[in-house]
Amino acid sequence: MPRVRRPALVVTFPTTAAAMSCEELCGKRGLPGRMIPVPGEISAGCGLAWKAAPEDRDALEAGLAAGGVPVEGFHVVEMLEFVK
Amino acid sequence: MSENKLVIDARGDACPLPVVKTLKALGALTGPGEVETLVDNQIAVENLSRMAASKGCVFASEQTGEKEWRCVTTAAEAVAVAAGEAESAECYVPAKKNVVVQISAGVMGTGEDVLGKKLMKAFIFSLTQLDELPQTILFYNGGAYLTCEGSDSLEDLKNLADAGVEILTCGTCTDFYGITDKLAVGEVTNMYVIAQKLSGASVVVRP
Repeated sequence: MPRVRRPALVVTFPTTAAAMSCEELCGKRGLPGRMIPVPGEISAGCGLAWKAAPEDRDALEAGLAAGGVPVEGFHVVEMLEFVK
Repeated sequence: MSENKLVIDARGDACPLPVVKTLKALGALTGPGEVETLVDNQIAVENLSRMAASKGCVFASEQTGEKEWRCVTTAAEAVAVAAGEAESAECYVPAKKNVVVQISAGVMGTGEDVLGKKLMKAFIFSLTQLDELPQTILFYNGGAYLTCEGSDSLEDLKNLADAGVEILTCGTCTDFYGITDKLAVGEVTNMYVIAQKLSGASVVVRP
């Protein structure tokens, strides 16, 4: 199965605990995305981030704000995706 | 320079023919000049680069298509090519790495398991982002849960399996934990195969 680079929305957090809260909140509220390590293009440091489609930004931004999850930033980076 | 420029179309030629043809062309140059060689694979580019360096030539290449490279070997002076030298050119094909990932627990590292599970999930996702995927991922002991129903990493592992990565889970372990019928990706294996895979690996990655 081939892979292609596609733009992805990556949400970063000030703490690992906030990233874990995001995962819990998104799971409960059915918000799109998944947890990934912070891509190197965004930060050389170690951390967890939330990956979703770029068009999901508004829903995520509103959901995370409503859930009180602190966000560091929203980024769009190219990531490898499997193409079926 | 135009009079002393030769163009070789080596697309479709198996290694070492691009080097053989280019070397012959270099030998045919009567003085300073260049040989432009068109090839269709990266290994040919690397072999041409190596040959150019051995002859004291300047080498440049550019990828001009999905499977097309234009290589230019420039000689500052006539290049001596002995009789039979071109025909005896050797082709260097880099050995393919055999990377085996060994996952022996459901968590990554020691400490809080809540964090360890997140780290392992993130690690397995990271494997999908490698330029070169591993050949095999071995799961055993607590790691066996990761290939079974309910695992957070199933989607990533299924994608890796579909991309040709061999996913093997220890059968003794799935039997011990009573999850044999829950295996959701890859195949069950035994300790002989695990020992064989690990000992045959060029690199073993253990998160």
